[in-house]
Amino acid sequence: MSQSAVISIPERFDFSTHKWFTEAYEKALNDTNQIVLDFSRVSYVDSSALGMMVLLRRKLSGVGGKGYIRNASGTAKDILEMANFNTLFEFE
Amino acid sequence: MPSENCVLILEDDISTRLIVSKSLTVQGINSIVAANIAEAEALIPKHDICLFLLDVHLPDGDSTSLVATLRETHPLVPILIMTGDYEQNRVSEFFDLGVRDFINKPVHPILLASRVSSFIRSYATEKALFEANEMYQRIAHEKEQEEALAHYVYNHILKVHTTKIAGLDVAIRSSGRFCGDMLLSAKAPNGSLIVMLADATGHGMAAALTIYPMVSTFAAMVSKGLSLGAILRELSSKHNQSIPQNRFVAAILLEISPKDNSLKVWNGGMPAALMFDKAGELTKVTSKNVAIGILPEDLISTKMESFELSDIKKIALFSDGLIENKVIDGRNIPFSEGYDIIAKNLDDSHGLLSLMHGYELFEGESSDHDDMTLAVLDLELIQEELREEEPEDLQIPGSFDFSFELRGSSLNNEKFAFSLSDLLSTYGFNKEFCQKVFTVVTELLVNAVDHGIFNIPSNLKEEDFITYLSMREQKKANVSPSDKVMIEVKWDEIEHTLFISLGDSGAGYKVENIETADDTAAYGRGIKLITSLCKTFFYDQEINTTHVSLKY
Repeated sequence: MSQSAVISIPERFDFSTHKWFTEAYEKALNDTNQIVLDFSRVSYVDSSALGMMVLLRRKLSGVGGKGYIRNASGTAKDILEMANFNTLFEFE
Repeated sequence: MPSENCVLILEDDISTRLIVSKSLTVQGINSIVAANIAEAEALIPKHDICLFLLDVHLPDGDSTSLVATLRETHPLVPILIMTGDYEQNRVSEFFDLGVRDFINKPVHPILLASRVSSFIRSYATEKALFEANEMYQRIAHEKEQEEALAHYVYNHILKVHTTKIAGLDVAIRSSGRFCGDMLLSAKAPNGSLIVMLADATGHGMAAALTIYPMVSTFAAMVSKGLSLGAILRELSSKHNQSIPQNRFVAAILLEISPKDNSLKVWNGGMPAALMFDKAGELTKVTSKNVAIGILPEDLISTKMESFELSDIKKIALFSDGLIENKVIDGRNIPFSEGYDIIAKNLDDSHGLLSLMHGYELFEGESSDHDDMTLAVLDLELIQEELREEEPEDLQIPGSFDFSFELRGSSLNNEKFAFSLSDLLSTYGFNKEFCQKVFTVVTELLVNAVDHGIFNIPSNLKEEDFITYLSMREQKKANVSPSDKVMIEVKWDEIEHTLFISLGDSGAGYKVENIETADDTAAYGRGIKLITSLCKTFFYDQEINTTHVSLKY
């Protein structure tokens, strides 16, 4: 197994993050197929963040990889759970 | 012109005066001469004199009075008396006054010059020593003052940033005035307790200074409601900004969250935390990370170890000073044995510290002990205490009503939802609620702008993200001044509910289309999110306005 890459997401994970997020995971996918999304700092989430995560999850499936969610808390965690993202990502 | 380092010759006999001054000149010693006490007194303040050579009987009096004055004004400068045989009986009187030596008359020029020069040398040494001592005294005084200030700040910081809580028992044994260990605890807005035990490299003031920046950061980040991982990153960033690269801080961070029934632990370079479950079974939570300051903050791992809080009875955290370099009967004890001793003696933390201190290894004469800190957390007591604090104060006094109308290019303000939730927080709404409002308003706005006004089909996001983006950019650039979104935010104090309405100048949407979207689709999640976060959701197709409410 290749070593996992950690993407540390900023406080606001919304549409304004999409460019940065897409670049971050594309770069990480060059070296690994295990990506950890570190939600430690995330307080604000919207549906476009969920959409971006779904796109990431598809890329990961395409290369036989896996995605993990680390340290999600508060409303961000509630939203991820509500969207049933535990079926797409593993909560660490 | 005043002479530097000269000898004052006080002699009324002109020939003696000449012989004496000549013999000194030959030895390279400058001199000034006076024929009586009055002349001498006039000369003394004007010159830097390194030795006094005095006759006893002078036309205007006896030189004893002058000697007494000189001991006051020039305490270190040697005084030699030139005496005739008949004055030998006054030797002891002069010695008592502080005279260093006597020279018999008639003077022997070479002997006199050697004696004078020897006294001048010892005077220079004495003077240097005196000055060095004075400087030492000054430095010691300054150091004392600086330490007193640092100590005051140190105690103050600790006092301000530590929350006392029942069930958290702390014992500290410091090797000096300053402790390089620090135990901090603070309650987070979400009802969790965050505890940190940090141990800086070295000890004393340098170690304490290494920890200072972390202390205030810790308290500020906890009160802001940051998660443990985010706090860790902030601490790391603060440390890297303010502390030299060769100084590190090992730390254990804990989050006790009764709400999530979880205990999270992050151990970076500290001895294992000893955790006991309700059956008394011991688990060691060992360090899986390096100390803070070793890695740049973006590389630090925020992976926590998570346990079910309800399973655990007690957890003990301690600095390496408690377990390192311990000797029993001449045998270095391994960590495993140290852990056993600590685990067995946790009920008496102060006694345990004394016990471990007694096992300390003395290397040679050095009594350099490391600081020791032990924190024992009774998780049942702590949970009780945290529970007592609830319920959170949910009172929002008064009511308000805001209306916004965004027209034309002002629709492109991506910070609107965030600023609105920030505005609500200033009225006292808790963070969690503001986060929900952010998500709801963002979804409503995106829905209204992207689909209602820009008319971008919602499935485009999924099918061709790049086209979606470029279409959005293009529409944003060409937004018409008549395009608008109306938002109303109303807080009802009686119903304890926040009402949000949002309408747009676009064509409207069909609710049922969106509700059928499944979890793995990358679009159509917006309305679903809104309906799950809100108490009520109603779309009025006639006026193309969505009404939602959130119970607080």
